[in-house]
Amino acid sequence: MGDLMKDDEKKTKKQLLDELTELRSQNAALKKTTNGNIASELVMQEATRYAESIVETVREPLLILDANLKIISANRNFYTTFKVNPANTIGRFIYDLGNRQWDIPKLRELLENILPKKEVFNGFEVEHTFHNIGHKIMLLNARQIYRADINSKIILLAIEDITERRSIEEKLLLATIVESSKDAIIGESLDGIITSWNKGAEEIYGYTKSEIIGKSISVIVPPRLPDELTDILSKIKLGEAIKSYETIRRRKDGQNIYVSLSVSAVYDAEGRILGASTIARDITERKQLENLLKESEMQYRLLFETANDGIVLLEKSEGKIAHINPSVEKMLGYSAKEVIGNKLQDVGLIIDHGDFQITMKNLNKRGILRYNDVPVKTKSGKQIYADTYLVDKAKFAQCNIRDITERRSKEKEIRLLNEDLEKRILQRTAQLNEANKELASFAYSVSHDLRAPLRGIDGWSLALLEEYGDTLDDQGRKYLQRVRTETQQMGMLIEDLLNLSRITRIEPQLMPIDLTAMASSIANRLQEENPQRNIEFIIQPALRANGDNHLINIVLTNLFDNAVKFTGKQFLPRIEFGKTEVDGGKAFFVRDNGAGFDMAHAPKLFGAFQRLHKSSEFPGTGIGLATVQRIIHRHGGRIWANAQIDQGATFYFTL
Amino acid sequence: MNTKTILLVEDNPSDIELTKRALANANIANKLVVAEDGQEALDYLFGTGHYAGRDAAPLLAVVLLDLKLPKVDGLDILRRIRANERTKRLPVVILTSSQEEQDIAAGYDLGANSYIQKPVDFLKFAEAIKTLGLYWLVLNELPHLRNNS
Repeated sequence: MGDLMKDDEKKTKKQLLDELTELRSQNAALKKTTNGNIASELVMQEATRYAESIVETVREPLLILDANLKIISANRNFYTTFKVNPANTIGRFIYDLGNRQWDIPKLRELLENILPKKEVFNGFEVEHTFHNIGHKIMLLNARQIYRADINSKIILLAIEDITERRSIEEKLLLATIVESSKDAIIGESLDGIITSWNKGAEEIYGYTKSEIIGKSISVIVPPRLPDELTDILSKIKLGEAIKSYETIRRRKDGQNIYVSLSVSAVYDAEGRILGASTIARDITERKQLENLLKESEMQYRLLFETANDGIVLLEKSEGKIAHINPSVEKMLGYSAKEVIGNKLQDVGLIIDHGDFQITMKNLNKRGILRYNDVPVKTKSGKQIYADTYLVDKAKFAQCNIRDITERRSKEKEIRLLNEDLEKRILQRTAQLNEANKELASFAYSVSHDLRAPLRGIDGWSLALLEEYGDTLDDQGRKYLQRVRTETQQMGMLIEDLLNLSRITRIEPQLMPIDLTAMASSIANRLQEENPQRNIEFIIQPALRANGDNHLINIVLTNLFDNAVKFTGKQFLPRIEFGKTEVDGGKAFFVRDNGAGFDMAHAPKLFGAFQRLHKSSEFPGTGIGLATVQRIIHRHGGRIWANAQIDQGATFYFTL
Repeated sequence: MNTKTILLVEDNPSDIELTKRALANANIANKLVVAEDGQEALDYLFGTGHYAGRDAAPLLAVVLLDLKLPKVDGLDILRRIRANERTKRLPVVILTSSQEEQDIAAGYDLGANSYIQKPVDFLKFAEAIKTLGLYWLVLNELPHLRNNS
């Protein structure tokens, strides 16, 4: 007031009086017209100040609106967050704010529909893209307050910007998804340097995150596919995405795997391409299955095309021919074009006389149906025969046809030949049996009948000698003695021959034989029979073999008899029996120090009636060694001899 | 000392004579009856045919039996001897030139008491006869042929 008075003092009294009159009239007018308004304005100002002070203390953007949704006040955070200034804000209709950017349908709904009814509303989420600040996610808390003193409502509208929180949450979620993904998710820079590597990538490629981050993506690309990476990255640089691209990658352990790649560009906030993100799925198993399938398809095709058998593929529904292979064309004379769409009987091949569907049912049940010896008429009318079978091949019924015409005629030929052969064998067998019987009865006759007269000759010669010996002179007695000697020699010959033939007829009965014991007993007998001779027998102990006891006895007896015979002129005869190493194998041997023989005659040694010595020197029938050889051969063994004249002989044999 | 008869079943005349001579040389003085074929031997043994009415059970010491005989062969005769209650224990010695193992086995199977091969060397045969005579006529105690008379 003092300052006012000083100004007033400079003015004239007149001026002052005029002003006063003016003020008074104004005052009176005011008093008249706006009686309550002044008071109300005062209250309003107070309320505003009150609200502003609250608003400023709140950290979130906050708006105070009047009942008409005009902005009474906004706090500093509102201005900074939404980049607006107070001049363009206060007193404005909220929807008009910032070039009508706040005309958000959801906000309208909240303010106009929900709030009037509920008065309080918390956590109402609004998402909106602002021209100036971009996309925002906001949580709105609103409260409607009724001021009784001014008889009006104000609205407090708190706006929480949760855009960043959301994005962090989303990033976290994304990170979790990335980590838990079975697919490899890899981030890489535009020059191919790996920047991120999830667990899936560790699993699929075998590299841990720590060892591969910072390395070039080419580490997992097989050396033969280098351009692929360049291609991929250049597409990414152009902003193109790559979807489900199947290729090969190399694991840390060197194993190649099939992967399906989806690559997309990674942008920064400003929309520039920072790098690439690759999602890789291991499709090795699927690929291998595909390859197997492809391979088996190829093999089937190859088989189909090259098979010697004719192959016809039939539609399952009606039995119509779908494909035939070249062999069918060759066999039946029809071209594929001619027969496709026809039925089997149309090409002269009748395998089922009934309904094709019944055949299909049977095929389904049994998996394969055979029709042997099926007569087939070729296109030219020629009659051939085929073995055919039907197999189920998923889409088709496969009919294999094998031309057996030639085989049939060959078989017939063979059958005839066999029949003839069998007839001849029967005839020959009968003849042989006849001959064998004759031989047997001959042997029996020889054994019995031939020996009886010999015994008679010998017996009567003996009787003559005994009863009339004294009427004969020495010469006569000597002649009679010669008759007896010859007779007995012939008896031995017959006996040896019979032995030889018997050995041929009987089957050796193999059993373990103590050869040492057998040889010792033969040696004992020989010593007893030749008491005047001092023969030294040297027999190795513990000699064993598998053989026919009786036959091996004949072998040893013959060899020992021979040894005794041919050492007859030896002053100190020595006979050895043992086992030794010969030419890398083991063989038994009988060795003597007797007369020996010239090896030039060795081939004759084992022939029947072959003798290497004069009878006057060493008597014998010449059958003994033939018998021995036959026995050894019947045991599957070998016999041979080594000798020198007057140096003894050694007979070796194996069993 | 010995009145028992020897039955020689043999068809070869030479063998018959030489056997007789061998027995004589061995001082075996028993009566020797010779049957020259199988049927004759059976007739003698069982009192049939030519021998009908004869004492059907002659007191025999031993039968010397050849195998290969006319009409009925030696193994058949042996079978009949063994099948008859009266003769089943009669000593039978097979005397033959057969060395066939099946003959030897069949002979023993049918109950031959001995099996002697006739060697060509008659001296050996004579020795065998002598041994045989000694054994069957002197040493061996005869079984009772008629145990129910």
